[in-house]
Parts: sequence; structure tokens; C-alpha cells
Amino acid sequence: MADPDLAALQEWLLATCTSGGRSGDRYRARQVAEVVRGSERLTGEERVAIYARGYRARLHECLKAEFTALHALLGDQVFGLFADAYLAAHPPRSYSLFDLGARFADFLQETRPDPHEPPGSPDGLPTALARLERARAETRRAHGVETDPAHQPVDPLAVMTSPDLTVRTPPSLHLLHLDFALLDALEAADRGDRPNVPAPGDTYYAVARSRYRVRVHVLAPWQHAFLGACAGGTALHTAAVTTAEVCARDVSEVWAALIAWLPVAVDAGMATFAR
Amino acid sequence: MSAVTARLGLPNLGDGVGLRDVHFAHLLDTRPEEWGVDWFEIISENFFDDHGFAAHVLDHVAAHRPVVMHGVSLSIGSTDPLDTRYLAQLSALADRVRPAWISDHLCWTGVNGVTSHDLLPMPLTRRSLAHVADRVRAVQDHLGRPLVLENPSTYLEFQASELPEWEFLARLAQDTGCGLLLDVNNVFVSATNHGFDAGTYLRNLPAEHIVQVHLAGPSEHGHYLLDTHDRPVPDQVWPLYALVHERTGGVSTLLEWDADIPPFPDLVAELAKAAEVRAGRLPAGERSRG
Repeated sequence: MADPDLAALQEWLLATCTSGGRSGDRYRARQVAEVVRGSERLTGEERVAIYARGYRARLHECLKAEFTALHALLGDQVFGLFADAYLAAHPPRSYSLFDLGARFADFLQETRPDPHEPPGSPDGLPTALARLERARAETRRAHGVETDPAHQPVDPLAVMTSPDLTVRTPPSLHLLHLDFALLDALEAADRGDRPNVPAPGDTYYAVARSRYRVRVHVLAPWQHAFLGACAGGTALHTAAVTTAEVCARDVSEVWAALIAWLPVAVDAGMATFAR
Repeated sequence: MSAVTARLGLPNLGDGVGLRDVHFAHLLDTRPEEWGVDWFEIISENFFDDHGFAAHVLDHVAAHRPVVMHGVSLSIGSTDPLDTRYLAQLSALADRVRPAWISDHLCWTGVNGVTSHDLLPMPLTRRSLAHVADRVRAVQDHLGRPLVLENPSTYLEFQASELPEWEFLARLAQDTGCGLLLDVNNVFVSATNHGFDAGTYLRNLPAEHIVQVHLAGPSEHGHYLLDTHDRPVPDQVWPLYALVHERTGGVSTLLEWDADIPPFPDLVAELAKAAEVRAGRLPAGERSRG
């Protein structure tokens, strides 16, 4: 059974830190003085404020590090407002700082001024960019093809002659379909530049890892559909048929395209063959 | 006279640094015999559920040097129940890394399921000592090894506190058999912020429980010091380190640097000052002060 005095004290300090530890309220100042020792060097309130500032700064830095392009695009002030609102709505509950940004894109979507605006409208841009950056972060840490003994290069001939081979996507692959062309913004932020505002545009993405390098690929719709069909592991010809159906294309046309593209996709860590 | 073996019987690993991602490329591109450090410390939580490049580098490093797991989220002082999922991940990582020991901090990080991701200070009362001691014993039972706890930098003290931090830590170590990770920089920071004597603190810890030392550089913020790990070890810390060396007879020493991290060779050069101090040669600034 936890010490009730200790529990109350911890609830008080955590609430004070997460609410910003602002001074100026006379009642609060008296409350702090009853709990925290002050000195000539620093008052109790000033001491609590160090922790409150640290809480905000640490979590902001973590979000900025993960959502680099969104931060660069919005600027520190606007990003900070988004981050404050997110942390107020979803204070951290995981012992891992990696989990902090997991719901950021959903939060941005839920708090859009008008979520019913048509695809590509400007207020949907932060959500789209946050989704892509979160996918990048998750791809970085997920199980990838590097340690998969089955993962080997594949040549066009093998694609042509092995329709029954099982093809699957690794856990490190993330597929997204977003309303903006975001690649230039990501690359600009990675270089440390402020990105231009991305143009609207129906775009299919694969975030994949190969040789421990994470890359964002813009895909054709049929490539996106094919990788989606492979997610659970399926026969190559079945995935090709599914892709043809989804994209309203001829199966032979999909096969011809796969022969050229699949070796590239396997090399990029988007897919692997189970042997 | 204490029956406890020096360093709880754990080895003196020599001089090490924290494993940080800005140095990954250097560590892969440089032959291990040229790294210039004896061991590495990892932040445990950074490697939970990581199967990417960081895990690859960790496997490489652990194949060539001893590794210590240092956590920041155990929350040993919290009144929330111990997080069994956290402990399971800690054990899983330990099974993979085979660390020389596992450490965390005398602190709490959150309550009621919300975490601050900060090392929040404990009220230093006899009741909270009993509370922490119970939890240390539970964690040690889970891990099957002594837990090693670090003194955090603190910026506030509670009115309710009854014991100085050194006495709290000494009693905790003696009651539970846990080890101490003595962060000499944190003693300097807390001593400055609260106005106690750092030497008294160091002289009153049970030397045989001290398993490891941390060194780091704090930053000045007007009326207080902040534990930022973003600069060289200040001159005032080296005599304190010399005192710890004298009292312990030598323990594993680790230089922490977590922001504005210099290139690896510069980090190694800063770490090399520790050996100089152990040989009786204080840095120039401190000599001139004396």
C-alpha cells in the first residue's frame, strides 16, 4: 500500500509541473511554500518552475526531433502551440519517449478547424506531414529485412518464372496514401532548410528501410496496391491478380511492370520472398 | 565493520562513455582497439523494442566492450505500482546485452499513469525510505541482481524531508544491498542549488556500495546550476572525483554528454582527464584555484 502522504505530494508536484508551474497566484504561492523549501538563492516557486520548464522543454524537443519537417514548415511558435495542445490532451503515459508522438497526427486531424474540407485543403497539411514523419520514425526502429535470413536480391527472371513464390512486406514497411506531395519538404528539412509549402496532390508513399537506411518512396497506385496485397504474405500471382482488380488493369500488364519493378522494391526493403 | 565487498563485488570496468547515436558511424568505421574507451553505458529505454540501426550498433559495441544499462524510467520512488511491462522489457534487453549491471535513479518520474519523463525528487523521509526500499527489493528479486541507483541532480527540497540525501542513500544501500552510482556532477549541482557541502555528502556514503561514478558538465542559470550534460566537466568537480577515488580505491567512471555532443575523439580526450586526476594531477584551472 502506497504512503498516502507521498502519493498526494507526488500528485501535487506532477500536476504543478504539467500545468506549467506558473507563478503569480497568491494561493498557489502559499501552497508551494508549504511543500517546498525556499532559500535566498531561489524561492520555492522558482524551484518548482525549473521542473515545469524542463517538462515542457523536454517533450517539445522530443516532438521537434521526430516531426522535423512539420516543425521547420510551421516555425517554432506555431509548432509549439500544437505541441502544447497535444500534450495537454494526451499527457505522456508511456515510459518510452518514442511513444510520445504516436498520436500526434491523429490529434492534428481531430482538431482541424474543419475536418470536412476537401482533400488537399491547407488545414490538412500538418496531419499529412505528421503521418509521414511518424511512419519514418516507426520504420527506423521496426524489424527490417537486414536480419531476415530469407531476404535476398531477386532478379527479373526469378519474378517471371516463380509465380507461386510467397512474397510479403517486412514490419518496417509503412504504406501511406496522402493528399500532398511531401517529399521535397522532407528532404529540405533533412538538409536543415525551411521547406516550401507542399502542393496538394494525391500521392502514394512507401516508407522502407534497407541496409538500415530509411527512405521515403513515391509509388504508382498499382505499386501501392501490390505491396498492400502482400502485407500478410501471399503468392506472387495472387498479389498480381489482386493488384489488377484494385487498379482496374490487365493482369498481364501488372506482371510486365512487376518484372521490372519488383527487384528494385526488394532491394529497397519494401518486400521480401519467403523461401 | 561492513561485510560488504568493495563495489558489491562488481568489476571496475575502467573509463567509459555513453553510447549516443551521433557516434554510431565512428564506432562502426573505427576498429574497436582504437575506440579509446573501456566500456559503454546505454540508456536502457532507448533500446526497448528497437530493431533498427541503433540495435545493430549496440550488438557490435557489446561484442567488443562491456555494456552497462542505465535507465531513466524505472520510477523507483513512485507510488504507482511497479510497471511489470517495463520490468519485462528491462529483463529482455538484459538477456540480449548481458550488462555488467543495471542502474537507474533515486527518483520518481510520474504518478497515476502519467509520466513527466523527468527525474523528480523524493521527499527524504523515513516513510519514503521504507517505500523505496520495498520497491528496490522487488526489482532486485525480479532482475536477480543488485540494482544500482544514482543520486539525481535536484532543484527543490521538500519541507517534509527529514534526512540529508547522503543519509537516505546510505540507509537505502545498507537496507537493500543495492549499489550506488555516484554522480559527482549531480552532487556538485545539488550542493550548489541547496547550499550543502559536497565533501560532507561524499564522505558519508558507504564507499563499498559505490559501483560506478558519473562525470558531466552542468550549465549555469543565474542562481542555480542545471544538469545539462552539454559541456566539459567543471574544474570544481575534479577534486570531488579525486575524493571519491580515494574513498573507493577506484570504480568504473563514465563521462555523460547528451547535448552539443562533441566528436568521439574529443569525448575521449575529456574522459582522459579522469585518469590524470586519479594520478594526482588536477586540471590546470583547479590547481591555480588551490
